[in-house]
Amino acid sequence: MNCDQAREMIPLYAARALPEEDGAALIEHVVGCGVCQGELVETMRLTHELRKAFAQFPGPPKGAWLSVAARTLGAPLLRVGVGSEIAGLTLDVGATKTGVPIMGTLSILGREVPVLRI
Amino acid sequence: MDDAKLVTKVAQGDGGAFRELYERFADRVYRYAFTLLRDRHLAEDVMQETMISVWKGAGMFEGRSQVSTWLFGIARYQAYHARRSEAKGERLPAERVEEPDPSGPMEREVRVQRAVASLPPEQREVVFLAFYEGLPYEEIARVQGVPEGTVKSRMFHAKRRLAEELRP
Repeated sequence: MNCDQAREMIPLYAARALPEEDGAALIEHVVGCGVCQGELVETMRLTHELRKAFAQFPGPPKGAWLSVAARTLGAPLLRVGVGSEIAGLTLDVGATKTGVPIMGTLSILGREVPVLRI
Repeated sequence: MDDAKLVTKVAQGDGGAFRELYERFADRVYRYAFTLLRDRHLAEDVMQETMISVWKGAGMFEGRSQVSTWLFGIARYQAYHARRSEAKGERLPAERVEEPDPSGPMEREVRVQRAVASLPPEQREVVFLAFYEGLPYEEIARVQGVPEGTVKSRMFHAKRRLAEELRP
């Protein structure tokens, strides 16, 4: 392995994305090359700092799954129910690309009847 | 269960598998989109549209690349459209990222974040995919749709620029 090849591999090694065999060859080169040794140390440090920097980016909002589920699985964004086990009314508020559908279901003695669709 | 098997189940309409896939990748796709766009609202849109595309098109995954590569490829396409829509004024004005205060004990971290933000988008993307996601050059080339040599060149220039920006 020459220095050019080693320098291509160093970022991958630092990111733990280098196959084991290539990693071993890289280390063998680095042990005997002061320049690449310095490059490896510097890249390892940079990798650590970059991973930290990217990890500090904000993650997705917690409710994002509900929107995705509503547009794929048809799961409601919001479900509101009133009544008892004998009779009750459930309102499901969904979300699609074209609007916010609201569906009402009346349940009487375990049987469900759609009563509203907006 | 590995990622590819999960995608197969999603292709069969398995909602539970889709939820699991979402749990594994939503955060990563969001961070990737944020790296590309530097805008939280657009990044959320891109993440959602990517996951919806996965639900609809899971059957098209052929297993020739990692699932993450496939997902990042879809997200990249969605980000391109999000940026175009924003440029045309079809979306609300973007909420840009607040720049942190560079003074104080967090100085080095802030400098790293600023250095990353200052990179040209393609270089920032390569840095994210290589250093944060640990994707090999070959997979990054697939995501970006460019030859592997271009990825290596972008990495070289990104590293040089980061070293200059972070020099004490």
